[in-house]
Amino acid sequence: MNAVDPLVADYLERLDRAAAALPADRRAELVLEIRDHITAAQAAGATGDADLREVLVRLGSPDEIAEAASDDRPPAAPGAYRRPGTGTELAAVLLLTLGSLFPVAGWLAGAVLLWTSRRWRVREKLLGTLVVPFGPGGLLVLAPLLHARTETCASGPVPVGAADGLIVQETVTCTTTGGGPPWLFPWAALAAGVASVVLAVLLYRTARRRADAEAPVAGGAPGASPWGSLEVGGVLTLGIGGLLAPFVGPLVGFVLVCCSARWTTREKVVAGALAVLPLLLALTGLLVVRSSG
Amino acid sequence: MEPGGARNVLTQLRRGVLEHCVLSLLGDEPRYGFDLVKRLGEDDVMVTSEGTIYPLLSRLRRDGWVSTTWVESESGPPRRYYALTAEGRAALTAFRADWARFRDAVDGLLAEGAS
Repeated sequence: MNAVDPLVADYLERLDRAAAALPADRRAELVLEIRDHITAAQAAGATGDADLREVLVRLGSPDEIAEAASDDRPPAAPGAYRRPGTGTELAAVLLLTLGSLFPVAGWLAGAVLLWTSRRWRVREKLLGTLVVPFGPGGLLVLAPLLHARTETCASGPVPVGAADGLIVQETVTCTTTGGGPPWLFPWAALAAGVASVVLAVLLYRTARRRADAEAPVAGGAPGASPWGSLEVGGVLTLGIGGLLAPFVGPLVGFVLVCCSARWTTREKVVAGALAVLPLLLALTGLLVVRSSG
Repeated sequence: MEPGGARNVLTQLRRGVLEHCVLSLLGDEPRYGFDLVKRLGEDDVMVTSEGTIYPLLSRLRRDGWVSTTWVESESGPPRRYYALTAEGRAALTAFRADWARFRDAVDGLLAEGAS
């Protein structure tokens, strides 16, 4: 290895003195790095004095370099960044499938989470809502109502001939109307269950993929979630309030949701519609059952 | 405005941005310190003093955004070879988004004052 050029030696010595305020290890490291830089420049073709001078000028004054080394800020906390979480989307997907077993409220909560998520497009949200509305659990409850079989029985005298004259017998005749083919119901429910689970998995994976493409969230900071205590309370009241206080419960929930500053108007309208829908369906169901009974 | 004043503005602008530019240069593959410095030094507006890149690299290493390995070199002493860590990559991704928004906002504001 060649002897260090006097020009370089002088420069490095001045750098060492300028870095006197630094901790010993950082000072030594700095001088070493600058020395290696100069060596690399020499290996890359800076041979004569003029070339060397230019390298040193480009490096800058030793004072400037030493000052940059002491310009310290606290090191970034380890784990300063984490990838955005998809807890909301996971909850949405679970509620839409399993949660639908908890009548209406479970699926409704899932639907609200579905629509307020920023990671699904409208098309995907419509799919999630319409492919099996009210979820597989909801269909288990609604399907028998829609396919109600009604039996009407009439009894009346029917003359029956016999050897010694007419005998009148009481006979009961029953006719069955309505209902789908007997094989339809269990298979339709199974298909619905499978379809909603498959869709749920696809939706969640899409959300996860989109979340990973977003900028990482600063560790610890919640990252502008649409869910504060007001929103959670509103949605719970929307879903379960109907059980406690018919009409009034969901209405209160809807008012709470409208007061939220975190939801856009469109999200609020969707929440309101989803709250009204089960009520309308229940009413319709009641009317249908009454009129055919 | 005197040259000193203009230089101050650039110094302020470089603060915080330069380290992310370094991260970006390491985005595709690890590189030697000398390579990085040469590349950054190509634009006078980015770097006035090449030597100050080394303390910046040290800081990136201490922050855990960059890792280093020593690689033997045929033409001289072993050289330091810098690579992005997962955290550094996350910081770079975050910066790209922030910078795009910032740049567009500033351009928009400057365009309004230009007429």
